[in-house]
Order: sequence, then C-alpha cells, then structure tokens
Amino acid sequence: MIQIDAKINFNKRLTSKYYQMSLRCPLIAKKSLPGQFIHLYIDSVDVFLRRPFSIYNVDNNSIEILYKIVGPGTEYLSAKMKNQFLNILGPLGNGYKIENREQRTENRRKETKDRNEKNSIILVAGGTGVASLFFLAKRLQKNNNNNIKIIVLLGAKNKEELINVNEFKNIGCQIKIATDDGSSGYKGFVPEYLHNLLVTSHGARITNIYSCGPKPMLKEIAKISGIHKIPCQISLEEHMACGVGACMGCVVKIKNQKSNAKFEYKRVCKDGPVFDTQEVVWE
Amino acid sequence: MHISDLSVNLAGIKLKNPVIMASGTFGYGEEYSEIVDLDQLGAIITKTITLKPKLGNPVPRTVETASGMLNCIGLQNVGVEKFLDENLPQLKRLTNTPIIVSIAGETIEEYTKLVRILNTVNSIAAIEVNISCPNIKMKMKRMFSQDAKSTYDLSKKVSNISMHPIIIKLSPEVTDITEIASAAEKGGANIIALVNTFSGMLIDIYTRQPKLSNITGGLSGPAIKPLALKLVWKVASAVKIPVIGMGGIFTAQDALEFIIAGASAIGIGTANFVNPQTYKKIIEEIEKYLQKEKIENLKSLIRSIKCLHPQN
Repeated sequence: MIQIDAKINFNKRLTSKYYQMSLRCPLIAKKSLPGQFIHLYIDSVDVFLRRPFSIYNVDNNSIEILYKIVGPGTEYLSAKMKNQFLNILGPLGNGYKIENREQRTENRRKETKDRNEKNSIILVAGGTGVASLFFLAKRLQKNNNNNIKIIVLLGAKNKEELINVNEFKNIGCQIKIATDDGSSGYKGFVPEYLHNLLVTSHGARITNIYSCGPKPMLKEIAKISGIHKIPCQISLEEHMACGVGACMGCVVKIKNQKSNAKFEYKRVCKDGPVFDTQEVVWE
Repeated sequence: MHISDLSVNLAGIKLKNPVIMASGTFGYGEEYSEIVDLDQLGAIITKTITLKPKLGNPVPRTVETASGMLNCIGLQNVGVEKFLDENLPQLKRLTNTPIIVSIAGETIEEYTKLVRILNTVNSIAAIEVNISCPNIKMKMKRMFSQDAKSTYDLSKKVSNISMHPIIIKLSPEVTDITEIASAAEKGGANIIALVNTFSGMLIDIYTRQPKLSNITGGLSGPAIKPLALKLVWKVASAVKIPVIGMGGIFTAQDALEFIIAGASAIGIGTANFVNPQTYKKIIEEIEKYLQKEKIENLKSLIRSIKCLHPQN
C-alpha cells in the first residue's frame, strides 16, 4: 500500500449525482487489482474519517473512481478540479479472484462439448456497484484474449441511474439492463432477472458470477448462485475507520471452517472486500 | 545544526521519542508497516489481548462524529496464545521498537493469569493493563478503573507478580481521576496511561436505531482533546510516576501541550486513521519547536506548565 498526494486528471460529471474522477498515482495504478479500493482523505470540516472508493479503472499512470453524491464527503469531491491534489491510500483490500489463462483453458477442455461455445461470466452490478466491476470486466477480457463472453447485468432504480453502459459495451461486454420502474430494459430487480437468465440458458457454461451493490441485492444473488451451483464472489461494504485492518471496525460474519464456533468476524477492508458468497453468514 | 534530544524515560524504558501508537488503533503492529516506519516510533502498544480469543461486538462498530468517531469494537482479538505464537514474533521481526502488550480480563484472576503468561516473554518492554474499555460487559457493573479500591487491588496483584513494568490505563469517566490514579500508583503500578475513550452515542433518525450495534461506544479524536488534556494535567499533578497522555492528539502542538501538562510520552490513535503519517509530522515538528525555542532536550518540557493563578 502507498500513501500519496495524487493529482486530479479530470473530475467528470456523468449525471447530476454521478461523477467519475481520474487521479494520477503511478505506483498505486501499477499495483491495483480489480476489486481493490482506495482510502481517500476529505479536507472538509463536515468529514472526519477517510472515505473508501472502489477502483473503477486503471489507465496508464492513473486510477479512476466512480462516485455518487450521497453526503458531505462526495459533495466535497464533486467540487474538486483538475490539477488539484487529494491524499489517497491504496490499493487496499483483496480484489476479485480471477482464474488465469491456463486454468481456464484446462476447464474448457474438460467441459466444452461444443467447441464454438465460449465460457460465460456474469457480472451483476446494482447501482454504484459498477464502480468495482468495470475494472474487473477489463481485466477478464485482457486475461482471456477476449475469448470469453462477459454478460453484465446492470440494475438501477430507473433509466437516469444507469451509469457508463457504453464503457462496458466498448470493451465487448453483453449488456442486460433491469430497472425497478421499467424505464429501461427488464422491469424488476436484478436478482430475479439473473435467476431468469440462468434458468433459460441451461448449458451456456456460466463459470463465475461476480457482483457488487446493495447488501440486500447481494444476499439474493448469493442465494441464486447457490441454487444454480455457480461460484460467486461479491464485494461487500461496511463502515470503515482505518481501512487497513488495524482497528477491527468493518467486520463481516464469515462461516468458521476451523473451530467449533459458528462464525468468525473478518475485516472487509483487509480480508475482503471480496468474499465468496458461500462463506458469508447472511442475516 | 544541533539536533535536539527527543528521548524520554518511562520507568526505566528508554524511548527514542515520546510518540507511542495507542492500543486498538494499530492492530498487532504489522497492518500499517508498509507505510509507517515502525523503527521511528517511540513505542507500539498492541491491540488488547484477552486469555481466550474474543469475537467482539456485531456491526456497526464504528461511526463518524464531529471531529471524531465512536467505536464499539468490543475487544475482538486472537487471544494470548495465538498472539504469542504468531502476532508478536511477526512484529518483532519487523522492528526493534519497544513493544507494549495491552491486556484485559473480566476478573482480577484473568489479569494475573495473563501477566504470568507474559512473564515468560522477554521481548516486550511493558504491559499496559486495560481496565477501562467501555465496550465490554464486566462481571461487576462498573469498570475496574471506575473504583479506587478495585484499581488498587488490581494494581497490587499484577505489579507484585509482573516481571515487566506495569502501565495502568485509566477511564476518563470518573468523578475524581486523581483518586483512581493514586490508587494505581499506591498499588505499585510503574506508569499511568490516560485517557481511554469517553462513552457516547448517535442515533439514525430514519430507522430510529442507535448508529452503533452496542448502542453506546467510545468517543475519540480531536473532539476529546481538551477533556483528555485536563485529565492528564490533573493526574500528572497527583502522582510521581510517569504518565502517558493521549486523547485527540493530531498535531505536534497537541503533543507538546500534553507534555507540558505532565505527560512523559504521548499516544496517537485515531489520528492514524485520518493520516498514517501523523507520527512523522509530530516527530519532525517537535524537533523544529525545540530548536526554535532553544530547548536542548524534550525531557525538560515535561510538566513545565506555568500556572500563574491557582484554580478556583
């Protein structure tokens, strides 16, 4: 991990509430993995602790974050300008586990009956969940020489809350949209859309599901992936203080494999934020 | 240019500077090791260890307040056995900076058991006896540190058997902290550390639930600094043994205030979450201050407060 004053390359307003910011930090950019995050200092009297932001993208010597204005911290960020500096700490957290190319080829050889059928991976993003999944999608495409099918399920309240759909399209992902009010795509919640997708695509060799979004959504995604027996990783959030695993503030209940205890507490900032859905104790 | 001497002596423990990482804010020392130069610190106090591993409280365990934060971690720790097997050796591999182990128990017996176990370990500089965590259930209704007799008894029992210097960490939530501090000193403690957190709460106005799982939690950060500073001044005036002062220290100025008030060393905790480079800033700026004020060594500043009028 590195702590640095990063220069702002751009702070783009996507909608009235959503922004995309690029920060120059070569050492952090070089080490960043999809699913990791940065801990950002907000120099405002209304904000005391740092705020965590998923790394949305890595581009040359810079990282990008995607954020929604939800309080004084993000309000402050939206007013920052190009060439100003922000103190960031990162990359933090464990990142999504991605099979390497050799593993994937081996799995395909074992499973594929139809040579022309590509393996599929589904990314499920709820609202600002896109913030960690874009980087993942890019890395998956790169690792597999664009030889896998990436389906991205984007869920939002309505059409206005859909963010950066084109950025996913441009890297070759197949987009499926679900909005609560039906103003775009499927009318309904993302988990039920995912369920329908899995039911109707038997044999479509979906090897992994990755998801990021509100906790109630992730709980449903966990249930569905369990029913269909597809390995699923999710990125969790919890109120953080230190962000590096020192204070034990941001824990999540994880099934305990080793001892007699029913569960143990693991740190979202250090042992996560990515966890396997099967190890999380859902409440 | 003449470099000022920042070293301090805590009951025989020599620290290269007065900056100590406070318990509960620095894990077992290695979590921050990539961005904090552990060798530059005066000392590190570990997360409080209990006899058996402790799960801690449910989430939410932390919440931000104005100029501070509340926590109700609940002493989640790996237990003394795993700590001695894994965490302490790992930390010793990383640095030679003095390590102080913080301990807690629900009864005096648990404290003495822990001290006996730590007696077998050579590589630690002292034991900090945490009798002031506001987030755990005690067998008695109050914390040890809220009762002078209990503090005296505990201090006596652990000081009698400990091979290492004993630091007693006090709670600020008492009517007369000098009474508690004196009791600890009379019992045989070598050093007093204060303050532990102040108990507080916040409420979510939409769910109408407390923002912390345990309803209340410990307040820390700049919000408590004037409160902590006054208590450090009071205690340092009441005891002869050295005092480690902490509570909302964020800058060199804060640190110097605590030292002038009577602290021989200072703890930084919550400040690490906001800026992990706080230790470095404080050390550098204390050096600058000493040079500018033409003070040869930091020791001469300890309890150098000039009160021109008596307090009413």
